[in-house]
Amino acid sequence: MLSDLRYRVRALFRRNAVEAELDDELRFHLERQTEQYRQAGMSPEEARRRTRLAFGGPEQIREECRDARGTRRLEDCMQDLRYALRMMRKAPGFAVAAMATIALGIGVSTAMFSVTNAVLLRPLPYKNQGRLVLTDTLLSNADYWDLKSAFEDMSATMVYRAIVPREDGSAERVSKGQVTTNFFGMMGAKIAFGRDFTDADGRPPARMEPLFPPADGAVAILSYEYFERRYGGNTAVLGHEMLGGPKIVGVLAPGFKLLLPAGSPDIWIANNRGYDAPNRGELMLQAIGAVRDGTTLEQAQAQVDSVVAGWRIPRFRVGLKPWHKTLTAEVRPALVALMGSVIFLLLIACANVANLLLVRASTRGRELGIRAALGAGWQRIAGQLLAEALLLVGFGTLMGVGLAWVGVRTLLIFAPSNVPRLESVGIDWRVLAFAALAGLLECAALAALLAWRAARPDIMDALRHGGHAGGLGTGRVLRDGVVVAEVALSFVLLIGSGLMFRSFLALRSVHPGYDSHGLLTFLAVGDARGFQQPQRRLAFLGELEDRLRAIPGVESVGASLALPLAGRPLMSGLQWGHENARANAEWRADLSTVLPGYFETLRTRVIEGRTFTGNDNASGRNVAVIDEFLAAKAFPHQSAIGKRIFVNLPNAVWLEVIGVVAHERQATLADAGREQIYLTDGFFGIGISRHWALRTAGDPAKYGDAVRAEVAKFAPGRLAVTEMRTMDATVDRAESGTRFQFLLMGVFAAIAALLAAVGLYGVLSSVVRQRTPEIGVRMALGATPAGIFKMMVGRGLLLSAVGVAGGSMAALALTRAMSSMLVGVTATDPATFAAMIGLFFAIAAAASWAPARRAAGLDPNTTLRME
Amino acid sequence: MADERLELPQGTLDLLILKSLGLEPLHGWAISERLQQISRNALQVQQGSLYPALHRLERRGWIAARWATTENNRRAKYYELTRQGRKQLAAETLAWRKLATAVEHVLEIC
Repeated sequence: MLSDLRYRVRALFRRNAVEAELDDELRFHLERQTEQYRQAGMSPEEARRRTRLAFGGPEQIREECRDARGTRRLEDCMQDLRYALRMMRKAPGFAVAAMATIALGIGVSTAMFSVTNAVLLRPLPYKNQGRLVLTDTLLSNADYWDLKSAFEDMSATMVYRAIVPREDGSAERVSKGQVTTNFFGMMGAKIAFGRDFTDADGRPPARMEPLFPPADGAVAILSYEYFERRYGGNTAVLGHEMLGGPKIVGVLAPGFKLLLPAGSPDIWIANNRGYDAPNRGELMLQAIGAVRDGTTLEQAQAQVDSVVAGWRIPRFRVGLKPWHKTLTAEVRPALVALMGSVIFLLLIACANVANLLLVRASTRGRELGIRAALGAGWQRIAGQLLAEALLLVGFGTLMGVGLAWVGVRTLLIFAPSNVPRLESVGIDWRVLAFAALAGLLECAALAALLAWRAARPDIMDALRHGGHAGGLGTGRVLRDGVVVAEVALSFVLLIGSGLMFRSFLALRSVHPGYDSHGLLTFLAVGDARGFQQPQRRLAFLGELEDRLRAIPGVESVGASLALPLAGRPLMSGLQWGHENARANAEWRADLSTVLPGYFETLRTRVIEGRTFTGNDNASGRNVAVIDEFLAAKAFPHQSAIGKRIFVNLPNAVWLEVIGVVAHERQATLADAGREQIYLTDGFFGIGISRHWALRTAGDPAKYGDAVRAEVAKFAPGRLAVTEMRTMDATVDRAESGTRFQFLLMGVFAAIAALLAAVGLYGVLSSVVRQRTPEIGVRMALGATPAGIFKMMVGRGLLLSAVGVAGGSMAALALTRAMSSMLVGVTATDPATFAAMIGLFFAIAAAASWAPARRAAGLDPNTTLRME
Repeated sequence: MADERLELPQGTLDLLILKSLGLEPLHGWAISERLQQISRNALQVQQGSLYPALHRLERRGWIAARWATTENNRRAKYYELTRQGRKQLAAETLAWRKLATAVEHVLEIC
């Protein structure tokens, strides 16, 4: 066995030496034999003749010896590859065009796949990741303990921003997370230094801290990244208390992230509230459950429902959603649509290369004909064509992976911020496998096409026509088909990008319900201790408001617990109703808490009634401002002023409506979003951290420094200013997702249209070459150049029309998948379809122009002589 | 002129080569000479067809090749039986004898 291998390897890699040895060996034999005949008395000629007769044909013997080495097939393959390489070097323009096309297709699709892989396909990096669910409402501590029994395990998190004082007197803003002590164990998180939380860490202390800000508990675990950043990776901090905070007991392994919209905390604190029944109404925890193995989501939901029913809170429901699906829900449609687009692009690129190869195969008709005539089997001819396809695709794929590497980096620069886990996008083995698979499939498709073509070489025809007209004629239907497919595919992409363009335009003209020009917004975060009483809090905020308004150029000031498009609403999806519509549990609204002056500063239109004044902050005044959507739903065709509505918090809280305002787009610009209820700060405010909005004269960005200085002067070390930006910048960022999708799809569609145009051009060019004699005859019989020109352009347009018809049907079926990405336009928008059909025919006419001109400019004398 | 010599049945050339190498290492031409001699010119072996067979046997590891000088001081490729080759020779000889006996038996009975 081993000797066999050694023999074959030597035959393969020391081929020349082996061949020389064979020559020596055979020559020795022939000489000895001749010598023997000579000694028997024959003449030299006779001896040589007899030797040859006895020996047989030396070339044939050599071939048989080569066969005997058992490396035949491989050697053929290598010979084919060498030959293909030679052919490529002889036609470098063709090779470069083909490889660049393949590289483009593979590069773009691989780059896109690397994003899809990281964002959509890769499972959550947690233990039991497939069984993790999130609750769709926030829970209280007591709720959490009650619900825990419905799961194999359940933990709860609460992530919030906090100001942490530093030893040098400055302060830093960090993200804190309060988690139940079982959290890290349940997630399978690794502790790098120190220890995990224990049950003892979760035991309530003798004296309860106030509810908000959340009790910091006794112990904390740091994220590895924060541990590095803040303490330089010094493990001596273990066991020490953070300034004004909990004791550090552990450090997480690098890379552990909480994949929730609130972000991942720097400091993780053990939740030690225990079963906190008196504060059942404080819904602050995001619960994460691990469904029992073998239990379906529906069964788990039923168990949760039965627990929740025990709380006897009317119309309150806790829903379960799979974590991974929830995490990716927002970006899934866009990624799927973009992934579909690049696969189309890949197919078009493949079709284009196929077209190039087919054109070449037909110009090489004579060569292939001769080879077939000399006895080459179709396998050998196909093998050679295959080798060529393999080389082209191989090099093209390598270039494509390089292109993808660059492409991923470019994508990450422009990608919108709402894409989860974007930092983990990269070229890993899955991405490489995708590229390799794409390359292999492409190669197989090309080879199949070529082999099919080579299997029927019309030898006589190819030879008779000298590889000119006849050779070009064969495979015409095939190539027309390829071009029509290309046109259809690129047309679908054009439709997609057209719809995204319309959406982008619609988004730009959306009125968000507020005037974003001339607004400066920022977040001032501070420690709430000492501001539990509303009076103290309101006094503090009121003074800050006055000082901000006193800055020269500031026209008005508003504040809220959550500004539109900046982070999450204070409380979202709360159930509400009114006296005559109590039974309707499907009504959900978002809650916002604002200071007087908020609507005036944002220039949100007041439709009915009035907005808040300072008096509305007085205790016992349960008043609300609602938006036009909620008013229309609750009180259609009547005034909402003076009516009463309730909100489940979770017990019904009754509110009196004093005003109706225009709907503000809160979460996204693209979607109108939910109904909105605004409450006074005096009634529902908490802490002293607020989002502030300043209406300014002139460029709002210029006021940043003045605002920082004023806040620092007013409350030194108490308030930290962050997220300072103009509202215009926020709006721009909110548009970035749609803009990004539109840009990407536009680029893909442009490349696709270009490739299709090139394909069309190629086919028409060879049609002109092939029909040159016929055109000569036509002209000699009186056809005008204009007539010939029309005939050729007509052919281009006919091919396009067939492709566009197919593409339209495909687009009608496929663009529905894009519906959720579209703004203000339906997936079957007739205007977009009409515009794109027009655009495409213009492209097709342009691509047909040059070949048609060439045909019209032919001289009948020359063309007829060619026959 | 009608040739009375026998064409070799398929697969027997390998056996004959192994057998002729049984005594001493030989080069290709010498093998063909020996085959002619010991078969008393009854077998017709085209000399050239020896070489593919030799290469095949070498690949299988039944014979080994080395270059050496002949008595006339010329370089030639000598083949010799390997241990595996000897085993193969014994096995094939036995098989051939069985086959020959069986064929003869059939011929006698019918």
